[in-house]
Amino acid sequence: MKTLLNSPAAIRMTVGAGILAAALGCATGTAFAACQFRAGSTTGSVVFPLLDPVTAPNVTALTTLSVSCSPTSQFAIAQWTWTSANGGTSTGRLAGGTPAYAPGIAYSVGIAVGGSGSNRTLTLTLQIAGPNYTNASAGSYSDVLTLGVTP
Amino acid sequence: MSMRTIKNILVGVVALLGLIAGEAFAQAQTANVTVSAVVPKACRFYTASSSMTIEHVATPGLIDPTSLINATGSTTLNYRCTNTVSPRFDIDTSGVPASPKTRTVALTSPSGNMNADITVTATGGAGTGLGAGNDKIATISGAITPANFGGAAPDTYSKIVTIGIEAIP
Repeated sequence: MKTLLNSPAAIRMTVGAGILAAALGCATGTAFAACQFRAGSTTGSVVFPLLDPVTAPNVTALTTLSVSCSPTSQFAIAQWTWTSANGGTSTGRLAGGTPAYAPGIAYSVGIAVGGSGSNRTLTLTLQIAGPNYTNASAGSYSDVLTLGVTP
Repeated sequence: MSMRTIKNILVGVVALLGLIAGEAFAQAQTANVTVSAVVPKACRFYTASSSMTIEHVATPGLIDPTSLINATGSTTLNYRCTNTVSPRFDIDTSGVPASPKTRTVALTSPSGNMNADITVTATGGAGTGLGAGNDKIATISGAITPANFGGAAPDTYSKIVTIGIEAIP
């Protein structure tokens, strides 16, 4: 058995399987998706500053994600989309409060991609207008934004 | 180069290729971003000041020193609170807010002092938000007992009372 494992035939089989798996991985990563969120940027979080209902200013929060397109010319045609788990595709909406605040807290979503080269920075800018939370019940609110890109 | 050395090198190369492939797999065409925010409890007055005259109904503007019943008065202040949050009050910063809140204060005059009991009550109840149109009424009432006004010298007695408001935690 030991002899078999060290035989040239066994080595070729092991190496062949590894290279095939690696090649399939690369093909999946580059051939079918020109633009992607880079490793480490497939999740993120945005925490708004405390929403003071007394003064109720417009509140803005942002985060950045690392994205890539290959070839880089794909950045020019890339379509960056978002969907709010509580609000759909036109308005983000935070749900929560104690007791639950039925209307939720609506917020706007802005996406901008900047930088150069194949790896660039996507800036996600979220804003809540004061009137959207001045009458909200107290407590914690949350939402999940799912960002997407084509091609 | 021995067969074992060759094998180790090849295994290393395969592992490296695997890592590269893993990097490619780790990228994605979607990303999930968790968004969160907190709205605190808060209450504020929306009336800056108000005045109250403590009197006997039978003698408007005056306290009848012969009366056997309390002289009374009341006024209101508007407040707003975070939706569903109730307020509590303090009087002249006693450090012990409550709802309702009562405190005895000394009205002063050139002739001396006279005690009055001041009570603040959240007549309007819990808040419905701090935006316009959500005003609730806090009633401030005052009472001076016959024991306090019975021996007071004729004069005008007054005091500026500071009412504080905060959300019940």
